Amino acid sequence: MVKTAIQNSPHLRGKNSTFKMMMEFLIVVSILWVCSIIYYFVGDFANYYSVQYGLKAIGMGVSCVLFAFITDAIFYLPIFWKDEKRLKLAKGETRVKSYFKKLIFNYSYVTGLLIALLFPIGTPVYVLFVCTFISVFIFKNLFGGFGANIFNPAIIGRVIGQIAFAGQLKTYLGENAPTSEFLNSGASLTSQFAGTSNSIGYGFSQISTLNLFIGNYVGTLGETFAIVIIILAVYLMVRKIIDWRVVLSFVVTFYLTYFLINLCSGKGVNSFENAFRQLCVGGALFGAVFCLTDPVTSPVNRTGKIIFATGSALITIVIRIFASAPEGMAYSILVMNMLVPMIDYFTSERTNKHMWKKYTAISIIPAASIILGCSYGGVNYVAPVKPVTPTGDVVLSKIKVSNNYADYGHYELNVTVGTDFKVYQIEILTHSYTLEDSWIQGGSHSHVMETDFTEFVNTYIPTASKAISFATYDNCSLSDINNIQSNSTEATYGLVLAVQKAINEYKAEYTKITVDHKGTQYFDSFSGNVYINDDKVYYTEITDASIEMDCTIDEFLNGGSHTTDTSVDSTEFSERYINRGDGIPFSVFEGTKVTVAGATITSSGYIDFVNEAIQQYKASK
Amino acid sequence: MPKFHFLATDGMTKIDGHKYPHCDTPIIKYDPDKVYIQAVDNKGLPLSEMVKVNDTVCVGTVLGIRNDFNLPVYSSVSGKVVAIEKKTSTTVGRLVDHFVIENDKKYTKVNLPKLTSRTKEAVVDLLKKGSIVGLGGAGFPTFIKYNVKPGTVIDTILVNAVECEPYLTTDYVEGARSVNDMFYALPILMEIVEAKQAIIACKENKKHLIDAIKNAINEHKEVNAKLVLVKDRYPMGFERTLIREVLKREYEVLPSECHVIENNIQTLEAAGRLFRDGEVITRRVITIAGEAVATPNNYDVPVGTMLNDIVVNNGGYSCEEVKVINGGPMCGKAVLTTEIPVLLQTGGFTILHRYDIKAEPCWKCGACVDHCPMGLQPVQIQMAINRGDVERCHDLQVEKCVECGLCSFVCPSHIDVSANVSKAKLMARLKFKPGVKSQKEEQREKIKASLQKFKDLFKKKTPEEKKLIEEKKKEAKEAKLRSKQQKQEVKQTEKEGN
Ligand code: SF4
Ligand code: SF4
Repeated sequence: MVKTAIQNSPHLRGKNSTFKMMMEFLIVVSILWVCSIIYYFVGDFANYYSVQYGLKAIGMGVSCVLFAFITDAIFYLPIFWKDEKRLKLAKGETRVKSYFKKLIFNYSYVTGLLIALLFPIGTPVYVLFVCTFISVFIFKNLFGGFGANIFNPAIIGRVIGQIAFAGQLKTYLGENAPTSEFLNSGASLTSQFAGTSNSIGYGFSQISTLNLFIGNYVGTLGETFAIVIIILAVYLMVRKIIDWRVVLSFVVTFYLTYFLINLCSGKGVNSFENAFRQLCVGGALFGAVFCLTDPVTSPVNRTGKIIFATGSALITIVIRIFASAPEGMAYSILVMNMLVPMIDYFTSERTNKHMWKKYTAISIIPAASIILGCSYGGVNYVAPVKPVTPTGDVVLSKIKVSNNYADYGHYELNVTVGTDFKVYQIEILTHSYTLEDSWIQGGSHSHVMETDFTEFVNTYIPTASKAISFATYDNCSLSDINNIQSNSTEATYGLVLAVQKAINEYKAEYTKITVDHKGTQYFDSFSGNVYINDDKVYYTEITDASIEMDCTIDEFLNGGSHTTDTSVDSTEFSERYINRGDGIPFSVFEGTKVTVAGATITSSGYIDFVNEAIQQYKASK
Repeated sequence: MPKFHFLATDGMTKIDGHKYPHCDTPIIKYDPDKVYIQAVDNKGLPLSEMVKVNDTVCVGTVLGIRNDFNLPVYSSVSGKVVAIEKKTSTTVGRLVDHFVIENDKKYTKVNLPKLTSRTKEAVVDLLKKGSIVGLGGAGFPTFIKYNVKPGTVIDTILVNAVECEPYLTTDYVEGARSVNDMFYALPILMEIVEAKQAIIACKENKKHLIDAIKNAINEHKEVNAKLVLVKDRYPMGFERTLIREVLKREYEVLPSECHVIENNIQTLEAAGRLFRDGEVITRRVITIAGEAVATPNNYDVPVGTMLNDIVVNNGGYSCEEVKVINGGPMCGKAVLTTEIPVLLQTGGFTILHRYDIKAEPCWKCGACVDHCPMGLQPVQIQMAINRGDVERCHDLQVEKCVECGLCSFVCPSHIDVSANVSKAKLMARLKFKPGVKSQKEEQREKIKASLQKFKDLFKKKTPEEKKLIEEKKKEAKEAKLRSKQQKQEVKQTEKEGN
């Protein structure tokens, strides 16, 4: 006879196990950690520091895992004496075994590694310790250990760090940032956002989209490598360790809403890029892939999971738009964690019944966020400025430029220039975070309310009634900007620089002849550049002149009177010799002696100057 | 391409079938010296009109009549009834009386009369007399399925040849062997319920069976039968899942609600033999497989053969401590002894090693929710029953659980979810008998009733109804007046009393 045993059916079990899944998850998270270690070792942000940086990245991960383990070890110490109540203590060996089993199956080390990845490189070790300890001891073990915690312990650790040690969270080692690439304080990029304007537009401008995508900037340890996170997420989703519904519904809701915000505020095609940037910054992707999908703190059924993820997306957006708080993602995850029991309760009917109810339920939040996005974008709509209608035969052309100065902010512009070498329109596509969208129409461009920017706008921004000549921009320097009484800032200088870039690009289409024309006894001397195209003179750029007239060179070129003699009318001169848009044929200059009424000795010098340029041009051909 | 479910449960998963090699080896015929046939019905009550000890019986002699469905119990061998002994019954779950019949191995037969008229009454009567029950494992009497109430429309007879339980292969080998018997029964049954088509569902990886069925379909062109292949998934062979997958229909209690009658392939084959030859079920093909038997095989044995006899005489066990499972490993229950006789509905035994799995805490991953074929939420039921909240279990519709065991199978933490769910189901059944309602249901009904009232307000009323309402109003007024008067009288009397 054989012995028989009784066990519960089913007598076959799947090969999948929680332990295996957690280990795979841990390995995947470690890959992210390794990426950040490599980045800090080879990063070119500060050569002489980098070994130190790399070691710190390793140290942070190791110490967080260690701290988590120690916390568990302390918490579960009573397990050693657990059997004492029954008056027979188990063998020492078995007790040690069960103790370590508990430590291993509590998976706090995964939490530890996640916490390490959520902090920036400059975080002191004691901060890490306190955060890990509180999150693991109180928010995980006191709630009942693995499987029973309400809040995502990693996010709790991050938020505690943010609240209690905001000053200590730096993205660099030492006292000062070695270069301006480093963020000042706070951990992730969101904390660098100041104010509402960030939700629309380019957002955090110091870093280009490509760098945001591949993670070539300094933020928190793990959040920055968008592309790595995406690859890992795909792997985890294929292996069914995380639910793709959570990640996808978060990303879709988030992206769509930001896209609509940008679209409705008149950003056009740039909305795609801007929304993507929002996804990359502030740990949104990291949170969606590694924290939102934590099964313990998310609802159990598919409907609930989607409501959970979309809700988190909506709250993140609301926090980013209205509260300008850093770590909107973290708070949103915690808020949704609290709602999980409620979601579970309300989605507890059978999963294959009443499908229309379920589809309605999951579409409410995305609909709300779409409405929010459209209306927020609509409220902040900025109409493009209408250009000046050019007079004469001016041909306009649009030039797109983007410049990126660490000190002067980021601009991406469409500059409309004319053949008369004037700027007709400036459209701001994306801009750095210190500007309001409407400032270009004369509004304040700064959150400092006293800042009045009218004068800058009057001088440098073309409006429906006036175009501004190239010279205004060419001659503008930072000190000029600072001299404008109206508190103009360096960021506004960035705009001028961007326009200068556009102007230079435009000028490159012309043949530029540089002439240093010596005057005679009677005629003034001029030196400068003459821009020629197709046997026509388009523009003269005078850098120096021994000029004796009542107007500036600028005014002279723009048709102003250049003599004190009131009997002299210089209008005819300027009409004939100064470009009005379609260029002046060489023949007008050639063979002209000063015969025109109002032409003076000075203007003769100018004509000679141009003639010399024409000759040079012909000679070069 | 597996079907994609965005919100609903997947309802199934792939399980390694463990069906090789015994599904391809020939069936072994085994004749025991003694057979043990249950002398009680499924409720544990004794049979009526029982034969006596020392009576001689033939194959097909009626031993008694079951009281629960009035089905006769037939002897499976010829010989002498030597005793009535207590043996473990897997249907009743304890030791009950069994006839012990000594087998003279002559197999003298008495047959029932053949089917002569093709009327519904005659067929149903013969099915009942022939004691045909569902041979897929449930043992539900077949005549009840065909005794459809007048007015019920049946358009399809679904033949279930899926056999999704791992290890078991009887549908495969026996189904293929006598597939022609089925085609004798099908036209008769289709005629009496006026079904337009018969669908034979079969797993796509069962080559021999598919070939056999295809040949049979070609031979019997007059029968409107169709072969449908389904994926190798568990629990594809469950009635509900199969009907959902093959016909895309859903039902609440009985398949006839969605115009389907579903039968196991072996049941129909037995019915075919009954109609043609008047033969009742006396032999069964059963699978005995699993890691703990030396040679997994299919055996052709008389009903009532002792499991232990078969195994010991055909290779024996391969280890000391085994787990005997009545049926397949997914839904089959483990039994405490190897001394169990083969029943009519027994499809096989799985004999496995004992193994211990350490459960981890539930981490609410939702794998069980994503796979439950009934769309239940086992994890929520489990949490509710662990805190003793039977009412919540009822609200979670735990009574709908079909005990397929899939939730335990997929649980990565290796928790006995389905055991907890069955416990909850049992308790909920006890507490919420038909008519008893949980708070939530009551609330829901109240809301419905008030909504109905609200709707009634806007309905057009016939003059009679109007009159009724007015009369009611009048009565209410009068009642009020009366109560007022009474109160005043009471007051007055009180005053007077003072
Ligand atoms: S045993 Fe019950 S609860 Fe578990 S999967 Fe099967 S039907 Fe669902
Ligand atoms: S599958 Fe297991 S661990 Fe996952 S939710 Fe269900 S019971 Fe919990």
